[in-house]
Amino acid sequence: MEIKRNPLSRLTKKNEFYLFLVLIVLSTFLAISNPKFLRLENIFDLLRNNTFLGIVALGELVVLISGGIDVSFTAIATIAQYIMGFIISTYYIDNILVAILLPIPIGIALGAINGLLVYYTRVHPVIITISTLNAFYGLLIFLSKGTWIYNFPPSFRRFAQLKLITLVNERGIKYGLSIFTGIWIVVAIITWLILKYFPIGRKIYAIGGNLEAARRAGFNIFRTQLFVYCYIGALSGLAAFVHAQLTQMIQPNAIVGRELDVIAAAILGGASVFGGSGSVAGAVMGVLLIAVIKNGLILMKLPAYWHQVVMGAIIIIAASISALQRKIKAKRESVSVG
Amino acid sequence: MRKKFSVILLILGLLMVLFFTVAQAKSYEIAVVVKIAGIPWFNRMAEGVKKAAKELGVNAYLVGPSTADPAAQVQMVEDLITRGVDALCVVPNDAKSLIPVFQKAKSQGIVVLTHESPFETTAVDWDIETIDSVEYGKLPINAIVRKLVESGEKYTEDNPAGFVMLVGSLTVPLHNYWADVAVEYAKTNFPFLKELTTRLPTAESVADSRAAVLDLITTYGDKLKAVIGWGSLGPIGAAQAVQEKGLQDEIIVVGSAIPSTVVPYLQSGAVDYAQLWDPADAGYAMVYIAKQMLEGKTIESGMEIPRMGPISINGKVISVNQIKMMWTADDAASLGF
Repeated sequence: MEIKRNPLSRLTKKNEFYLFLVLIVLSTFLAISNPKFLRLENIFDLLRNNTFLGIVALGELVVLISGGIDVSFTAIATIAQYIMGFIISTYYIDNILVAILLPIPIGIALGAINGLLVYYTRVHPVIITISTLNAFYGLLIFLSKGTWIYNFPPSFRRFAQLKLITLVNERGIKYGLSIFTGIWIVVAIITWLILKYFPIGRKIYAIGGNLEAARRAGFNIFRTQLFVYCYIGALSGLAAFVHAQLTQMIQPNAIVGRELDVIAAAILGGASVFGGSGSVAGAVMGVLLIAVIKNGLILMKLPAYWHQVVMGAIIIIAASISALQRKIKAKRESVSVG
Repeated sequence: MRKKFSVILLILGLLMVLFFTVAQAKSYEIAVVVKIAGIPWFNRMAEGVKKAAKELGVNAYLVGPSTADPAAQVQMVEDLITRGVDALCVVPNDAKSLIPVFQKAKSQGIVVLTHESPFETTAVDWDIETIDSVEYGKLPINAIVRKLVESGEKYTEDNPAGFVMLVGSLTVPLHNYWADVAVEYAKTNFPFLKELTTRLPTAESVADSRAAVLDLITTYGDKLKAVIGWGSLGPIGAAQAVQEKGLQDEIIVVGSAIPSTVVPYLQSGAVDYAQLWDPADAGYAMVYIAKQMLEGKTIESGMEIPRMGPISINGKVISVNQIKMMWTADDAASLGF
């Protein structure tokens, strides 16, 4: 018998719906305790400050859906950022396009190393990418001696101020929707298109859901895995550019160590470490949730000692809701099958 | 003929090896073990160690683990004890975890010194500081007061000037000690200064400090008059946030910063005052004190370290006051690191 589904019940089955609810409740709560939270200026700043997290979380999402995991993206981003910074500051290349386009192929190349290792060794990707994280990062520290780069050409400094929408606050200072937020939105749309409408997207879900079944169905596992790790590599490169823009300083040790924030955001957004599930909307909301919490903690004037406690608690709550959601869904499916 | 020649060569060679071993044995071996090798801060310290080795005629060198990992550092110290060095100078990652190996070193007659660890001195001969930590905590407050007075605004207890502090993390002992000193000093001497919120743990990252200060500006608006960054990236991040909001004349940014990185911010006025010590001084001072001890000299207040002036002693802490103060871009640029 066909079960009649109304749109609302379909919506409540979605993990993203609950995440959205948490986000709304949290924002309302923050807005009541400090009305400045809802000001456009604060929201624009919040979006801009979390672009790095947002872009790499989309890459991690794709890897998680494929049943893999990548923890080496911080090292990839660092290397891509460092080589870019070194070249543009040493040769003083005053061209922003070079700065944007240089880190991406570097990221893809390093991602390809991960992809090849994961496919050919069949060792769990956590082990592979922890190893490559250490190898990539160690090599960079050895070669760079940890030196910081901070003398960038003018175009590099100017680009950081570009805005898609410009407004003026009451003190006459310009603020607005940063170009980087724009980049994040574009990356989110591209990732969504790839996952939803491109054949490779179907393959990513298929190998993440059941690798053996996908293999027997004739999917090319190698190409799919290679694509996935190159994709997060490319996004790490792009995010590395954004990070360098935001800080105007490249330190080899600034990004490494942030792996968990990103993985937490993706998992918070409903991606499963077992592969096969996850969505772009979820990953974006996962990042927003973390961003709102971080922003809100200061706005609520809470002492810093409590920041990590609150952060941990909210991640646990959100993750439990999505786990519960999945459990109910699994139960329903097994009932309908039985 | 040929055989004879090679025998002579062999004997000569052996003699030379012997000679060098003896010559080597005469100079003391002093190992400086840092938190992590290969970062600019400790590369600068290595310069001071090298200089001391050359000037004092000792075999001094700087080593460190590849990650700032307490366990790796303990292992490294352990290896150096086995190797039989004469003195160990350590910049600890975790002072507590080093206590057992320090005790072992001392039982073998090895001189043990630390740096940046004035609060955990049970197992060491001396801790050496190139700054007076109390002074270091007070100076940024003085800088803020000076800037507030210059601005011409009047602040009172009812109309206070708010400030916020950024530390590396809530567990970095020195950062939090300076922060405690600053709060106490401000409370007793300048009641018109008010700490708006407890210290934030962001000062080891430009991005985090920048984001935190943007949030602080949103939260406190024009109540926020000053930011103190105790970690060397705090003031840089704060300066970027302040610059972005066009508040460089309204918000005073002070604190620790590596001179070469803070030059552009002192120039633009986003950072108002920066301070630090020179790690090369610390490297030199450790090797210098180690050599004095190995020669059996007693360490007492008033003893001079070349170019650093007389030392003062407080418990097991030896200090010279070499705080480098930077009010202008020229001050910072002239320090050369």
